Amino acid sequence: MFIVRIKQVFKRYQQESLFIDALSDINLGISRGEFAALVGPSGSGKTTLLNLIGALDLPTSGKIWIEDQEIGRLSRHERSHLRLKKLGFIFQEYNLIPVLSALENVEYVMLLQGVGEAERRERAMNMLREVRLDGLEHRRPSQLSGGQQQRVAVARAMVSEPIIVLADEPTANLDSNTGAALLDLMRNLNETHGITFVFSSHDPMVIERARRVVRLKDGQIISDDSDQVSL
Amino acid sequence: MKLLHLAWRNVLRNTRRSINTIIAITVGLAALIFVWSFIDGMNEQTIENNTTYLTGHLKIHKKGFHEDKALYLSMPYDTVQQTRLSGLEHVIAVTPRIEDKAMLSGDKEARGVKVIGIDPTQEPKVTTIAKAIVAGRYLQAADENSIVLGDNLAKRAGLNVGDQAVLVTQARDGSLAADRYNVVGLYNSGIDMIDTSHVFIPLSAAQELYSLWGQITEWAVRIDERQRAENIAIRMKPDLGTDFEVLTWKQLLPGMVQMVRFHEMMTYIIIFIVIVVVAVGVANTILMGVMERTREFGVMLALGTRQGQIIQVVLLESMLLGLIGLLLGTLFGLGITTYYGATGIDLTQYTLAMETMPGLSGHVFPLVRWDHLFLVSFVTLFISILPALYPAWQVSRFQPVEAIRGSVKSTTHNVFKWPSKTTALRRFPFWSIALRSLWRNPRRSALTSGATAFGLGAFLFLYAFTDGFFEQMINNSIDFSTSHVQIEPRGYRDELSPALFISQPETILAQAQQHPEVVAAAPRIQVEAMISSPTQIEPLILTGVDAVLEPQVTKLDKMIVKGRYLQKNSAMEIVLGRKLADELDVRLGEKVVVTTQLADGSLGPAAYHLVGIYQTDNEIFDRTLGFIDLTQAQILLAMPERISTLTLRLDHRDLSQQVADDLNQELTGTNYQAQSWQQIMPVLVQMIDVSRLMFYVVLVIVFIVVAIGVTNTLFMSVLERTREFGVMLAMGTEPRLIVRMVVYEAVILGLTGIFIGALIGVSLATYYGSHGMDLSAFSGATGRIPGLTDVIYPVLIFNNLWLPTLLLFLTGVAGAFFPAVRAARLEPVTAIRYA
Ligand SMILES: Nc1ncnc2c1ncn2[C@@H]1O[C@H](COP(=O)(O)OP(=O)(O)OP(=O)(O)O)[C@@H](O)[C@H]1O
Ligand SMILES: [Mg+2]
Repeated sequence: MFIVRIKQVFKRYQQESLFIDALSDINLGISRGEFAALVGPSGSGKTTLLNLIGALDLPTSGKIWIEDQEIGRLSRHERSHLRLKKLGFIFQEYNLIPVLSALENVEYVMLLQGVGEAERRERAMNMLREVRLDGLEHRRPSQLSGGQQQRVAVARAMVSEPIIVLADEPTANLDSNTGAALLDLMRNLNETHGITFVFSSHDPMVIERARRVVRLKDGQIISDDSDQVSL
Repeated sequence: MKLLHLAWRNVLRNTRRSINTIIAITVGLAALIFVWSFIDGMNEQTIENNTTYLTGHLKIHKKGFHEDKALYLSMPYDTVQQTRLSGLEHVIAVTPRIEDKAMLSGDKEARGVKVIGIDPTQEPKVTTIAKAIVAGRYLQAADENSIVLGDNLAKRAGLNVGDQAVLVTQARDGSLAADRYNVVGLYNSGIDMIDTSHVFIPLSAAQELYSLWGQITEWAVRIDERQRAENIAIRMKPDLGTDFEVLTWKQLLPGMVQMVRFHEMMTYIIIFIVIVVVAVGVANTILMGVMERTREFGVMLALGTRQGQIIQVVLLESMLLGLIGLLLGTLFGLGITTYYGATGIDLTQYTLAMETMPGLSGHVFPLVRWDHLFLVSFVTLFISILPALYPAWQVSRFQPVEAIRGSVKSTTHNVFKWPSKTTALRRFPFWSIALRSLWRNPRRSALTSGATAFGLGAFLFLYAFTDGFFEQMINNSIDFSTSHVQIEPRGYRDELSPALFISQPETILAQAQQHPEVVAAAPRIQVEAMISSPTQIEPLILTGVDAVLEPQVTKLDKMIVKGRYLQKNSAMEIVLGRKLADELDVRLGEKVVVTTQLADGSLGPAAYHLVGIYQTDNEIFDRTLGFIDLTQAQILLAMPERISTLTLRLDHRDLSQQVADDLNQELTGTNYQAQSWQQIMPVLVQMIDVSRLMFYVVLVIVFIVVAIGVTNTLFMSVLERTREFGVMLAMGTEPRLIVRMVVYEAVILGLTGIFIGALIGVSLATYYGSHGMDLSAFSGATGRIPGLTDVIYPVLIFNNLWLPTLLLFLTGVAGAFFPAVRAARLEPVTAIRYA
């Protein structure tokens, strides 16, 4: 049972008279509890694919289902709602709302979801503890290191218990040790909480830690191996 | 040249910011040019009309005449002297005149007038009344006993072309002189002050009337350019010798000169406000434009650009923006001004108010003065470059690395530490986010709020000042003269004729007292008269009052500075204002003669002792009114038991119109009518309207600038946070929530600005409201306005202020609309990609 299904998806960008096929004929299924990496050279379509899965963008053709909802049929408003309820995001950088403290950043999504104040606070604190940021919860993003910021982003993405967390090059701005540590943390959370992660990366250290690696080249899947799965 | 090119590219690249800056400068400059031209036009018109219709540019008198106006200070009609004066450089013409006062009576009414004896062939070379004839003809050389009057005066006196008018006056030897004149023509200069009080007769007739054979009182001189008057006066003096005095139009019309100065002062204040508001708006835009490009400048520095060059680029940029704004603003400003300069701005709706400025009529023709245009242009350019200096200097001091990493900014907001453990977020999360977003760039927010605050503060204070000004006018006029409501015969106000009277005062009084709002009532008789002392003759509005009842209605009795007020049935006693007493040169206990026209048309002189002198510090009250006992007035006018006016005092000023309307209902079918103070003093009401109009102009300018300022600030801040909004949208934040956040920012900015502005405005107004603002430097101008004294106490009238304040706030919030929508419309994918 896939939580994300992608069927014959094409994504074509037009720049003036030039057409760029960012993705062609992508077919992919992602199951609950996966820890999957999208890998490929620059321009291969990783970000484009993650944006589509994240309902941030729509395919030129083909269909994408998140659980039983086909995103192409959703309005802007419904996609926004879908993201809020079911998806978590981690971006490469500038992930956090700079005027909010670490704790408030984690609370933000629950605030939008209308979670009550006391519960919001407690869940956020717990989540920060899980990413080992307790004690730093009142710091502003500018007062946190890059790795710490990304951990806040992980906490924020997970705290509302989404069905899948999407991370586009979450470690690209970190040194490799910090990046590896972040990945270990994510994998740990994946294992303990059963939350599905899909992330993209160039970094072998990161890819090494994935349980499934989907390789892209020129907008096409060239390999999809779950061999590294070592359960 | 390369730097200029770079600056130009930058201007083009940041289209929206550049357009914003240019709009701010353009609107501000165009408004400045227009406002200034309007006032300049008004002033020019006043001066020009006064000098060309009546006064001329220079006058030559026997020494001491200007001070004394006494006929023994006349001078010989010396044609040799005239020829010599006419021959001087820049002098166009010189004409002889006799000027003095007299009482004019026609069919209906007698009035104090100024008689001007002229040479019909030479006068038109100096003044232009000849061109303003509306009926009949101007005086001719062959005329003997002819007279030309203003049409307004003629109507009031019941005279028309072909009728006979009588002038009564005091001749040179002090004897009473009178003669009859044929009305040959009526003129209308459009200047009420001239039309209602000046009559023209041939010089020979004037010499006859005043017993001044072979004499004149002055030479009136026209020169080619008004501005040369002082120089020419100086050059004339040695030629004339010590027996004569030369006066320029500025000395001849001191009240007008002060009025013009007063207007100029008001203009400077308005211009100052507009300049500051525009400067802050422009500074804001330019400051932001530079600060948002920190990184870019970092890269330039890293590439080896010298600091001086960066400063130059930034300055060049704002200079380019300034120049474009300057060009457009001048174009617009000149366009509007030239258009209205040709067609005139129709203010006939406010004619009465305009005419309080003697020489002004219902149409104002804005006038571009090149020196003023140059000045505002220069100032505008200056204020568009000045604010760039600071950021330019700062940018040049950046460490390239810091600038590229963008960490320069974080050091600035570490200076302003915001408590981060606040719990406000829990209760008002989006307000809190908005507040913190503003706090991220405190300087920018402060500038925007500051512009709002200054605009509002200045507006509130000025408004309070004018309200104080008008309150004083209204209250003094009511207290010293009109009271709240007057009942009088229909048509009485226009003619002040003793033929119109209330025959059963008791019935009317009883009727008025039926109204519970009426707290006191007093009967009066009012008539135009001439008052003369052994040396002087002056026009007078003679009022017969009941010495017991009048003080319950008006308060002039409290303003007595010498002697005492009238007593009941005190025979042969008169009370005069300080100015008039000085003018007549009479002291307490001395005798004056009052001449009026009786109901039957004959003239009745009567002598009175001066028993009291009052002083209100207002020129009109202190100079034109005289009070005698009612019974005495009834005897003088041969109308026993009759009165002309019943004045009513109410318990509250605001009820005046209501009570007047009610009374009029009851008075239908009679010959009487009730009038509120607003109807009695339409000039006052119009002046208030005019000043409101002026304030709305200022307000609109402030609005535009504030709106631009807020829009700018928020645009910058939205632009800066594109990525952040992208992340928020990606996480499922609804676009309308984003709109709300941005609007909240505007609300906070607006509220802060309004709060500070109101604080400043209210404090200033309250301070001066209790201490008063001394305008004695302009007393010549203020004294001419009925009811006004030299010290103004600003009054805050909440009813007049809340709406503009609210509108200003809403304008600011409306300024958030575009940036908010822009933020909400962002596509998360592109927003996140945005670098
Ligand atoms: N908005 C866009 N407009 C036009 N072309 C785009 C747009 N977004 C992506 N592309 C193009 O689509 C292709 C795939 O881009 P994408 O960003 O998905 O690559 P990527 O694998 O994420 O690369 P990187 O590793 O550099 O992040 C590229 O050729 C890119 O130039
Ligand atoms: Mg990418």
